[in-house]
Amino acid sequence: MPFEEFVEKIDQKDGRDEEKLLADYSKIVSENLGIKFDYVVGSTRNISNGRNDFVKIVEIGDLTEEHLRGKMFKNTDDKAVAFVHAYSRKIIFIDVPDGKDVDLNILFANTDTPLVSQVLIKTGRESTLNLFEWFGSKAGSASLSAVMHEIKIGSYGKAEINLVHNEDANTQVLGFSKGSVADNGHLKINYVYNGGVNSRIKNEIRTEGYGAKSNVIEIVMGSGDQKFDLSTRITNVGKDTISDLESKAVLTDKTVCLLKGFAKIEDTASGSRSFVNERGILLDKRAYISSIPGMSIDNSNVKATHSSATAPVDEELLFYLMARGIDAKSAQKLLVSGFFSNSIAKIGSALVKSAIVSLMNEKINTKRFGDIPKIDISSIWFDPKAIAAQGMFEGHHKYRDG
Amino acid sequence: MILDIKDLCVSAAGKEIVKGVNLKIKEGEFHVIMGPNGCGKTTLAKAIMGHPGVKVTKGDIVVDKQSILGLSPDKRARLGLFLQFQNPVEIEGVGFVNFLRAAKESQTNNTADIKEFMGEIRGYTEKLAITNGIIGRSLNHGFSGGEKKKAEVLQMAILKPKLAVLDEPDSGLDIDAVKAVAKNINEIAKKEKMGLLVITHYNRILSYMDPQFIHVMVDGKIVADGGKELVHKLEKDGYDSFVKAQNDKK
Repeated sequence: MPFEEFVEKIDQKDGRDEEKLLADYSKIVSENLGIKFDYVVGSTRNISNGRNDFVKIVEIGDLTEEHLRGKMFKNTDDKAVAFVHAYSRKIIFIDVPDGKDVDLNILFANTDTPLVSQVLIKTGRESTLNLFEWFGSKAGSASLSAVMHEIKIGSYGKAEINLVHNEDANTQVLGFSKGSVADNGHLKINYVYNGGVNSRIKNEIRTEGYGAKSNVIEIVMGSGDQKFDLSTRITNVGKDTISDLESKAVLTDKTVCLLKGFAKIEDTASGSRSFVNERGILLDKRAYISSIPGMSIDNSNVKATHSSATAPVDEELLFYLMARGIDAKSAQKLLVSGFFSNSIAKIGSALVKSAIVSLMNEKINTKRFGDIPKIDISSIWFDPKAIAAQGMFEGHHKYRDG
Repeated sequence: MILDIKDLCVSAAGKEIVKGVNLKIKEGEFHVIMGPNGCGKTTLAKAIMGHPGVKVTKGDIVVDKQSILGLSPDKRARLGLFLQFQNPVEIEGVGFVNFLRAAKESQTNNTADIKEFMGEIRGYTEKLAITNGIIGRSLNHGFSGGEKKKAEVLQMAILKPKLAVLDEPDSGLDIDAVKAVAKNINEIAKKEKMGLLVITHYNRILSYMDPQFIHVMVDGKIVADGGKELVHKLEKDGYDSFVKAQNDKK
C-alpha cells in the first residue's frame, strides 16, 4: 500500500464544502436503502442527525489520555496501523453504559481526501449494541478509506456490529479490528467487502472471559480488478468460550481474494469450541481465491475444526435451474444468493440484511460497486428451520451425531 | 407443440450413446420409452433439454419446424419443454418457492400474484400428498427420494409445459406414491393437453397410466414401437430378446 501517496493529500487543507457532499451522499444512501444514519463522518466534517449520548467524535487535537485508555493497537503491530495512528483526524468513541441498549447507524463517506478513522467501542455489563457502519466513497482520483476498530464487550454484554465496505474503484481500503469479549459476553461482527480497488484487512477477536462468544462473518463480493487480502484471527482465551469464523467469497472477472482465517485456542481455554469455515465460488476462470484456514490448539479438552472449499458454479445446478426457464444470469444470481443466504440470515437487523442483499444483486447484475443500489431483495430466501438447526459443528463429519 | 427428433446421435464424455433415434411427439400424445440400463434413455432426455455435458453429433431436434439445437436450456424451457430429472440436484439456500416463482415468472414474463401462486402450490401439495413442508425448505435439499419426485411433478403442474419428458418418474417411490404421481401426471397432462414422454425401466407406473405409444430402446436405438401390448410383452419376456436381436445385427 503506497501510504506516502496519501500523506500529501491528507495534509492538504481541504477547501471544499465537504459538508454538502456528505449530506448529498448520505441522502442517497438513506433513500435507496431505507436506513437513517445517526452520524455521517467525512474527512474534514461530520454531520450529526440527532443526539446520541453514547457517541463522541473527538478531533485528534482534543484527545486526552483518558480517551486513549481503551486503545488496543500499537504502532508496532503493523506498518499500516502506525499510518492510521499518525494520520487519523478523529476518533469516534462509542461507550454503552451498563444495562443500556443502543442502536446506531454511522455512514463513513470518503471524497478525494482520504478518510482515516478510529472507532473505539466499549460496551458495559449487560448492555446491548447494534451498530451498522456503511463505508462509501465518491473519489475523483486515488483515495483511501482506512478504519481501525477497537472493541471491548463487557461481561454479559451483547454487540452486533455490521461493517459494509462499498467504496468506489478509486479507493483503497484498509481495515483493522481488535476485539475482546469478557465473561459471558457475545460479539457478532459481520464484515461485507464489496467495494474498493484493493482491500487489506486484519482482524483479531479474542474471547477472553469465561463463556464468552464471538461469531465473525466475512462476505466478499469481487468484480473487475478488485483485490482482497483478509487475515482474521479468532482466539479462545477463557474457559468454555466459543469462537466462530465464517468467510464466504464470490468472485468474478479478474478478482483476487486471499482468505487467511486462523483460530488459536490457548491453554487456558478448556472446554472451548472453535470453527473456521472458508468457502468460495468462482464465476470466472480468471478469478483467483487462496483460502488458507489454520489452527493452533494448546488445550486438549476442546472441540475445534476448520474447513475450506472453492469451486466454480456447479454446471449441474445451473442446468437444473435453466431447464426450468431461468436464464443463465438469473440462475447464477439464485445460486449466489443461496450460497450467501445462511450467512446473511444470521444478521439480526432486517435493514442491514436488505442492504447487503441489494449490494449483492447489484454486483451480480452489473458487476459495479461503489454505487448505492435501491433496495432489491428479490433473489434472497432464508430458511429459518435450517438456520436454527445449524450450529458450528453439525455439518462437519467429525462432530456429527452417530 | 410438435417435437420431432430426427436421426439423433448423441455422445457423452467422447462416447456415442444415442445412435440415430427418430421420434415424433405431437400435442396431447403420450409416449413411453422403455429400455434396459445404459441404453441411452437419460442421455436422450438430456439432449432434448440441452444439457452441456452431452453433444449432438448428428441429426436434429426440431420443435414446431424449428431446430432447437442452438438454444440454451432456458430458451428450450420457455418454448414449452420440461424435463423431470431422474436425480434432481439439491440446492441449499435457494428456497423451493422462490425458485419456482422465478421459473414461472421467466416463462410468463409476468410477476406472479403471490397469493394465487401459493394457493396453486398448496393445492398440488395436497393432491400429491406432500406432507413434509417442502414449501418452506431449500430446493430439493434434504428431500427424500419420493419427495424429490413429487416435487418435480409439482413443478410440472405449476409451469404447465407443452411437452414434458419424465425421466423415471417412479424410481424411489412406494406403491401409494407411484399411484399419486401417476394420477397427477395423467390429470395435469390431460388438462393442459400436454405431450408426454415417459422414460422408464418398469411397467409399474404404466399400470396407472394410459400411454398410446411404446418404444423400446436398446443400445442407443429405438428397436421396436407399439402400443400397450408391448409393455405386457416386456413384462413377460424382459429385454433379452430385443438385446439379442440388436447384438445379432452388429
